[in-house]
This record gives sequence, structure tokens and C-alpha cells, in this order.
Amino acid sequence: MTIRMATLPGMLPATLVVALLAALGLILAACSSGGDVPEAVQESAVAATQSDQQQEDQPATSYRAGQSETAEGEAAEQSSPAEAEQAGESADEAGQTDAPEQEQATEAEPQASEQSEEAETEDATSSEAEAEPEAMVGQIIETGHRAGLFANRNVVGSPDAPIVITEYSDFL
Amino acid sequence: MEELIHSGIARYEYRHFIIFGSASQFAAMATECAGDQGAWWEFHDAYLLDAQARSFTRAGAIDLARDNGLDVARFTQCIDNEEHRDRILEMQRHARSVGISGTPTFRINGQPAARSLSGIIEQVRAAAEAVENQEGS
Repeated sequence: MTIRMATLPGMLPATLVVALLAALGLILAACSSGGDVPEAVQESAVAATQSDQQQEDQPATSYRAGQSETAEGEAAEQSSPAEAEQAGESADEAGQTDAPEQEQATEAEPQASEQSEEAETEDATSSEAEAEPEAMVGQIIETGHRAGLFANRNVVGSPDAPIVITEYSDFL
Repeated sequence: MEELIHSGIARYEYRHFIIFGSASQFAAMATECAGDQGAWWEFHDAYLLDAQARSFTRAGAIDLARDNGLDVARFTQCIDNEEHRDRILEMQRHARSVGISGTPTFRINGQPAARSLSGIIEQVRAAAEAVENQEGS
């Protein structure tokens, strides 16, 4: 069918009007039918989603495995029995929590892993002499434990520190 | 306090001051033996938290060493030979020489500190400010 319209000054060309009307019709039809999409489009969308999921799953799994090993290693190196007991209590508590909280914890793992990776990268770029005390102090603050030269035996802190706090104490 | 240690302004030192007899002295020696294997603070923390004083015996200390992954044979030899006895007695002598008579006692730059934790923190802050002012001038 051919539509012929006279184009008066100030009017749109007939072909453009037809094209606009057709486009409007298509939009209305899509809205009224609940957004039906052709099957071919649906299939490609599903395939793309599956592909994305596969890409996301793979790094996430390796992240967790790596983190788990690191955490266990650190725990073996650092934790005291008291801390292990506390960790056990925490683990027990975690076992009693609801599933949504567990999911939150799982989501937090990659973030923590990314942060530790960033820290490792920073350590690698700076010299060992600078990074070592920083890491040790970080460990003290995070875990309450001290290790290495920076916390040699009964001393925590820089040997050149101008303020020295001395505690005289008995364990009993 | 951690900030001050982190920034290199302050250093914390723990000194044994034995007032509860042989069990305390043994625990101090065991801690030093653990220190030989890099676990000084693990033992320090464990002893402070050991309300039943189970680790103040030879068997208890060895269990603690095992729990912390230490070389148990080396640790046992160290405590049996009392390898750090002199070190601890020297700390004791030095503490008495500067007027320490009870525990816990804190000193800041060799001067007596407040008895309360908040007082100690205030003193350390004041000392840190003085250091910063000196560095600034």
C-alpha cells in the first residue's frame, strides 16, 4: 500500500511520518504484550548469561581456595591456643547464624582477598627494609601478635622510638 | 598507643618481675625459651590468660610449646637447663634497682607512670606531643 500525502510547508515528509508511526506501534505492541522477545534473541541472551556466570564462577572459586590456604597457614603460624579457642568460638557462633549472614560472609571473601593482593603488590614494590616493619606493625594491630625483628621477644616497636613504655609484670 | 608504636614514636617493653615464686619464674623462663623459637608473645599471652595456671608446670609448658608448633625437644632442653634463668634474674635486679616493688608497674622513659591505664595513655600522649613539638621547632 502506498500512502501519498502532500507535503506542505512545515509538515514532515510522508515517509518519515509513516516510519515514526510504525516505530510507535511496535513500541506499544511490545509494552502491551509484556515485553515478548523473539526466541532467537532469548537464546542468545541466555547463552551470554551462562557465559558470564562461567567467567565469574571460575575466578571466584580459585580465590576462595587460595584464601582458605592462606588463612590456614597464617592461623597455624600466628594463633595462640587462646586465639584458636576464640576462633573456635567464633566458628561455632558462625555455625549458628542464619544463611543470609553466611552469604554475606562469602561475598566478603573476594574483597578481603583483593585487599590482601593489593597489600602484597604494595609490599613487592617497596623495599624490604621499609615494608618489613610496616607489615609487622600491621600484624600487631590486626592480630595482637608480634613477630620478627620489629617485635623481638619482649619488645614491640622501633628501637629508635623516643618514648619507651616499660611494663614490669608477673604472669601469675 | 598502637598508632604511636606504628608511627615509631613509642616502643613497649615487657620485663619479668617475679613476685609469686617459683611458678612465676618457671613461666618467665618458659616464655624466654619460646622466644628462642619466635613464640615469645604467644607464650606471654597464653600465660596471662591461663586462669587455672595449668601451663605453669613443666608438662603444661611443654603442651603449650606443642600447641604453638615449637620444637618440643629443643624447648624442653631449654627449660630443663634453665637457659634463661640469668636473664630473668638480671631483669629482676634491674627492676628493684629502679624502685619497682609490685606488679604491674609501668614506667615511661624511665619515669614512674600513672597507676591507671587512662592515666598512662594520657602520659604517653603528652610525651608524644612533646616529641612532636621538639621535632617541629
